[in-house]
Amino acid sequence: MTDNFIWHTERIPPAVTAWLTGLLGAGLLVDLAKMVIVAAILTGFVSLLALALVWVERKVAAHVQQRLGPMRVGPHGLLQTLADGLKLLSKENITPLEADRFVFHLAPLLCFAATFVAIAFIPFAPGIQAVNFNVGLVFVLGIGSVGVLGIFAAGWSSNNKWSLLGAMRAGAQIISYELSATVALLSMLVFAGSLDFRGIVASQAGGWWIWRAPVVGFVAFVIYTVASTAECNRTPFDLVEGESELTAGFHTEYTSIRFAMFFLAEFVNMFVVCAISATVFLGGWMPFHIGNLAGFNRLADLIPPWAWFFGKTMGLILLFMWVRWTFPRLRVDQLMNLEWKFLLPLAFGTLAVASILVTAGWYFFPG
Amino acid sequence: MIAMREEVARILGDAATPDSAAGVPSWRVDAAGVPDAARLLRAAGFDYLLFITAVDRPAEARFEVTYLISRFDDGRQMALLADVPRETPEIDTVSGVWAGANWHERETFDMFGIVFRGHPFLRRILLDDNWLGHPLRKDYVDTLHDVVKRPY
Amino acid sequence: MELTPVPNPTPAGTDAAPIYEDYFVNMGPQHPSTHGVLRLVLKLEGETVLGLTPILGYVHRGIEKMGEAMTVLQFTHLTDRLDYLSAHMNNWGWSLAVEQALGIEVPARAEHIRVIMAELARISSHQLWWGCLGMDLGAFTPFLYGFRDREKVNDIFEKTCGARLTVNYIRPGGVTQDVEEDFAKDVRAFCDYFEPVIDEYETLVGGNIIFQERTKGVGVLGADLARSLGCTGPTLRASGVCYDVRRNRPYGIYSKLNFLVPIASEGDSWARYKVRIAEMRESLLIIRQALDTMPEGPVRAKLPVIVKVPAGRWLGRVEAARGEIAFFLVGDGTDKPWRVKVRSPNFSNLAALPEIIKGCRVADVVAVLSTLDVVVPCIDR
Repeated sequence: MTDNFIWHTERIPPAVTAWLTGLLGAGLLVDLAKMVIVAAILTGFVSLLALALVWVERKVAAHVQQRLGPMRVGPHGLLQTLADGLKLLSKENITPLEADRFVFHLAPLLCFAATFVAIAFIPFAPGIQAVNFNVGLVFVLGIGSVGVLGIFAAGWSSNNKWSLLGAMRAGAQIISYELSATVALLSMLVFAGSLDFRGIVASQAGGWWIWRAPVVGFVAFVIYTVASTAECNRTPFDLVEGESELTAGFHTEYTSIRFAMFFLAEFVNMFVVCAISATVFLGGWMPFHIGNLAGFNRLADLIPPWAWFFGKTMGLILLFMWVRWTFPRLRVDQLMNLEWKFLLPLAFGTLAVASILVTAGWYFFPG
Repeated sequence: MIAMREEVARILGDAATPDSAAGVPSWRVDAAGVPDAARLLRAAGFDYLLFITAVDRPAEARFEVTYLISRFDDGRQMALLADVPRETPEIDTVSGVWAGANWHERETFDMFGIVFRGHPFLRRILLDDNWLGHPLRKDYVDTLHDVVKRPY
Repeated sequence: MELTPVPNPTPAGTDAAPIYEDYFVNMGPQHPSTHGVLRLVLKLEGETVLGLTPILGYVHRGIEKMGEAMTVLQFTHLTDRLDYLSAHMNNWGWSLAVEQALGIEVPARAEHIRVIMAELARISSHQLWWGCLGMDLGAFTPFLYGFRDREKVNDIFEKTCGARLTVNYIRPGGVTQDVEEDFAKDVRAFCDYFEPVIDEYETLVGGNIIFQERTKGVGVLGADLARSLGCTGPTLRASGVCYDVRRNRPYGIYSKLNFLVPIASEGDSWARYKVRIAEMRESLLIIRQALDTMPEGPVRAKLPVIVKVPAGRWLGRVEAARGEIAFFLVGDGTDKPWRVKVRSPNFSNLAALPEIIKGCRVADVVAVLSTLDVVVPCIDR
């Protein structure tokens, strides 16, 4: 950070803590109050986020397909998702007769909880981060795996052959692609030298890893983008819900609010994945700095860090959506081939080269 | 057409008598002689079976099983006709000669009730399995739905 | 003969006692990809298809029986509703049968209009096929691009024939009415617009490596099996058999027109894809030639008030978008036919599916069915 850094958002949490201490007295109550406030903010944020992302997806899809998308409900259809959400909530909540009731009801909660928890770790601005673990990145990756459990539970408990097929595919797909995603992130971690998000962002003060780590940064970014598209079950890897084949895959039997939870979980998952990508590769809330060019860095600092963060994340989200509406989907054996025979070896190679580069100091603006 | 008539007469020999009706050149064979005639025609290059169907002639108490056979290379067409009695409509299958005959014969069975002996899987194909009757027969009465005719 | 209900057909190759791991799945009749109301029973082992049984008849309307109850001129409107994407060709096939029966000669202008309409219908049908193929394989955008371009053809149909889909325009004797003054301008404008768009189609879908991987080597149909089953149209031509009714049994003015018939030799889904794309280009050539040489004159021959079909058997054969459709007309001297038989190209093409899908995966069923391009109302009649 340069001297010109004017957006001192890291002062907000201590200020709030101080205010709460004054109100409630020091001790456990203050911590509890902080937890409640953060939880409330995150819940509100996630809801608004899901609403906004669904609208963006529909508009991007529409314009790619040479049509307009939602236009009537609210200006340019901005309130469309709200209307659809209300409609979904008012539908009948059906549980199939032969379904495994407990697991059937648990599955959407698992999916949603997994992605919701991951939001807590993302740094939106200096100091604006709900939780900062010292092994934050590993924890977030682990939490992502809980989502697979949710999908599998949904497919199995539905007592429906198509759902089961979808769940089987999902299990194989997500578990496989997690590997490449993790190794690609590790390649950047060796440069960043830290496992917690705050440290990773701070290490990019001289420049973003995607270009600062020569070639390796970009390759790891591409691997991570492909792998996380598979993690999110988006085309070209959406055979899990392959609409044209399985009608709706693992969530065929779900209605009303449970279906809404799967649906929202998918979008929030996409946000989480893009946020991690933005944090590790594109510098998180760090403005676009180039080493020691003080003048340029000063100009970049004028834009607030949360604008940088959301700009990068939204850019990646738009990339995901663009890819979704362009490509057909892969078949399950082709998907497995891609991962195990191509992507994973490439990721390991990237990690090896990254390690060499870091040890030798052969990257831009080391130290 | 003359060359075609001579060629088919040569292929089928005495088994087939040319039919004098207008339109598509047709030959009539015995119901028992259909598989042999089919094999001879197939060997002579008539490799394209357009369809197998039947024409109901209740006045003469027979079904006229019609095989429309053509050739892929020059597009020539001919009809092979075989009569089966209306009470016991049975004929041998030709699904060993042309693979497409399999479904065509199932449809003819479905619509007319003609049993093709030796067919690997003679079930109804277009109608529901529980359907009663064979609709394309001239005396078919729709028994599943009572249709009440109202005067205007 | 005693009529007893027949039990449900057992799925392919399963007359033996079922094995514990056998897994039967039902695709359809309501399914996003079955191109109509078609039910497929799949026998799966994991993701591999061991056998497939199509169950037909959900759209059976008894068109052949209806043909015995109406005059030959009234029956034309029912032919639209068979393969509704090749409505013009269906009308033409029936008109050929009736014209052969009555010995009618069609005026030259009508022949040219018939060719233009049929080839426009072919392009429109292939546009829909291309869009649905993209959608079935997961790329949703081509569906909308295909339909956007199809609208232009529908507009031409609506202006000339009065309807977009069930046109009922080509009738025995010629066509019902003459074309509008700006017909030539509209059609030429469409041809000029659409020619570069086919290249766009090729880039967007055909050039995509995922699409190629999904279709190359999938669902291979050998030439001998295709001939034996009676497959026709692009399905047959992609297996290497050079058979096109427009070339092998020319009707109308096709013998005077200069066009190529695309053929491929591999017989897989990719070959069927390439053949249809090439056919679209050839259709544009045909349309331009027919427009350039269109003469003036009447558009319908004079028919008697009551059309009586003489005794005999007539067959009207045309190349529809999906293969050869043929109308078998058996007359008995009255004004109503004694028997009408529709030879459906989709019926024979679908018969290939159980054979070529063995060993493929569930996702391939969709890809193969999409490139076989069946329209179920034609199968069920």
